[in-house]
Amino acid sequence: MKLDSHLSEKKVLAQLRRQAAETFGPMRTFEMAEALEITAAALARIAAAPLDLTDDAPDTSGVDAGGTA
Amino acid sequence: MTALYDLTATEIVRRVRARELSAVDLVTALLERIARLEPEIEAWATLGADEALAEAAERDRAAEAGQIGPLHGVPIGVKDIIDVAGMPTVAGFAPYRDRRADQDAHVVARLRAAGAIILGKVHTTQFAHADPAPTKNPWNAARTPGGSSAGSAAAVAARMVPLALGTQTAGSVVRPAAYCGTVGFKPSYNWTSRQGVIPLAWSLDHVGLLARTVEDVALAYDAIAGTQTDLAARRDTPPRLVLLTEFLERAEPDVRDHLLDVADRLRAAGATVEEGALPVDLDLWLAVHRVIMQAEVAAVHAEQCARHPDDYGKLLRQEIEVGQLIPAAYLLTAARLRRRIARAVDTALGEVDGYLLPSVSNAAPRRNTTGDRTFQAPWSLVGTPAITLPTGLNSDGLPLGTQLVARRGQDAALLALAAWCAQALGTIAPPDLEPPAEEPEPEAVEQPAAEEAPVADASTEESAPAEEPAAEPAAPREAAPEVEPEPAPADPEPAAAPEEETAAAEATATEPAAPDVPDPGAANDADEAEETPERPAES
Repeated sequence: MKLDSHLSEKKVLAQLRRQAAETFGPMRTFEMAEALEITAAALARIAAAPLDLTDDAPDTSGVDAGGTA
Repeated sequence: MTALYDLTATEIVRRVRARELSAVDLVTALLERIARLEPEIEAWATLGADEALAEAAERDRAAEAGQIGPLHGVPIGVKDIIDVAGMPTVAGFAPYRDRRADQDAHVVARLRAAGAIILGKVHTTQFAHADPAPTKNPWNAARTPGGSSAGSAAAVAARMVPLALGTQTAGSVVRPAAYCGTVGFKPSYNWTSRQGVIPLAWSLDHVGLLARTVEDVALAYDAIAGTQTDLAARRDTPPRLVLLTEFLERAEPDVRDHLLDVADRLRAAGATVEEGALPVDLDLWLAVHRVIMQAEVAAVHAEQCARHPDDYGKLLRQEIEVGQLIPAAYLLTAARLRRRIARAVDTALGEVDGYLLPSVSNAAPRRNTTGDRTFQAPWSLVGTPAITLPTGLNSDGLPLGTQLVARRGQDAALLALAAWCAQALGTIAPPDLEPPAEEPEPEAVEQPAAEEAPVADASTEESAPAEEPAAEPAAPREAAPEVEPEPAPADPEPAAAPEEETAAAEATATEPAAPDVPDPGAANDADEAEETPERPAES
C-alpha cells in the first residue's frame, strides 16, 4: 500500500482487506473486519497528517535508549 | 488497632523496623486472607506460600540483626509476565504453563534486595493484551478489574497484598488501578530495566506500581530506581494544573461530574486549575499509538502465533495479524509524528506542574472487556509519568480515579504532586469484603461510622455475593480524610452509547466468552487496553 495523504479511509480499508485475504484467508479477514476498519482509519489519519520532507525524523525511543535491556 | 492486611507498605516497614511486627505473622495473615477471598476474586496465578514464609523468616532474622531494607518485610504480588526465580511465568498462555524462570526480573531483584517478600504471581490478561483475565473486581464481581494488570489491581484493592507490580503499554496500570480504587503509577518510559519482563510492544512497555497510597508507590519506586523521592517537596507550594477538556468531553457523565468536583476541591485547597486543551489532536495521537503498538505486537508475536494460533486470545491474535499488514512507510510516519507529539507535550507540560484528567472514561464496565484505554494510552506513547488516585465512588459504589500527568523524566515531581493532591482530596475506603460476624475487627468499635457503612444499594442489578460496594467505616490507616461517595449522577448505570462515542475512533466491543461466530458487529478491537464499549447483553 502506498503512503498517500490523499488516500481515503475507504481505499485504505479496501487495500488492507485485500492484503488480509491474501495473507490469512477470507474467513480470518471476515472475523477481523472491525479491527481492519479501525486500523484503516488510523492509517488514513496518519497519512493525512501534515509532515514536510525535513520535519521530524522517526522517534526510536526505547531502541536508542537500550529500552529492552 | 488495624488488621494486618490493612497495613500499608510504609506502615509495615515502620513496624518491622520498630520490632513491632513479625514478617512471618504478616505473611501468614495475608495468606489466610487470600485463602478466604481468592475463590471469589481469582487474583493469583501462582502463590508461593512456602517460599514467602521462608523469605519472611529470613527478613525477621535480618531485622533481629538490625539489617533493615527500605521495603523490609513488605509482601508483593508480581504480574505474571514478570519473572520470579523458581516460579512459572505463564502470561495467560497455556503453552507456557511449565515455563519456570531461573532468575528474577530486574525489578523483582531490586525489590527483593530492598527487603520485599515475593508472595506470588498475579493474573494478567494474555501477554498483557486485551483478552480479559479470570480476575473479578473486588468492588463488584460482575465488573472487570480492568487490564492488563488485573490481578495486581484486584489483589491490592482486596488487601491481599499492599503492593504489586504491573506493566502498561496502553493503559494497563492506570486503568485497572482506577477501576479497583487503588493508586497506580506508571513512571516515565525507561525508568527502569525491563529485563525479565515479557515484552508486548518494546517502545511502549512500562513497568508500573500499584498500591493503596502514594507513599507506598513512592517507596517501591525509590527502592527500584535507587532514588529518594521527597513527597513533601511541594507541601507549601500549591500546584498549577491544566484540566484537559478533551477528556471531560469524552467521559461519561458521572466521571465528568466527579472530575469537575475534584478540580473544585483542589482549587479550594489552593491549587490553580485552569481548563485547557491538548497541544495535539487526540484522535491523531491515538492513531499513532495504535499503529506503533500493533506493528510491535505483531513483530513480537507473529512467529509464535503462527505456531499456536488456537492458544492465542481472540483479540490478541487479531492484533498480531492486522499488525503484520501495516506498511513500513506508515509505521515510520507514525514514528515521526510520535516525536512531534512528544515534543509538543514536553513544551506544554513545561509551563505547568501537570495535567489533570479522569483516569478512565467510565467506572468499571462488565467483565467482557478490560475497559477503555483512551485516557491512558496517550501518556504511554510519549513516555510521560502518569498516576491515578482513588478519589470517589459513583452511584453504583464503583471507584472513580483522578489522573495526573507530568513532563517526561519528572517522576519524583509527579509523586510529590500526587501526594499534595491526595492530601487535599482524601481517599476512598476499601471495598467491604468482610463476612458479617467472623472478623474480630477492632474498627467495628467505631460505631457512628460503622453504622453508616452499609451503603450498598440492593437495587443495583449486579449481585456481588461476597462483597458490597459500600463505603467502609472510617479506617484510620490514612492521614488523609475519607471521601464520601460521589453524588449520584443522573444515569446510575453507564449506558453503552456514551462509551461507544468515547471510543468511536478506535473502539470496538468484544464478547470474549461468546461462541466464535463471525459477526462483524460484535467485535474485535485488539488493544492491550482496548477502548471498548460495554455490551449490556453479557452472557
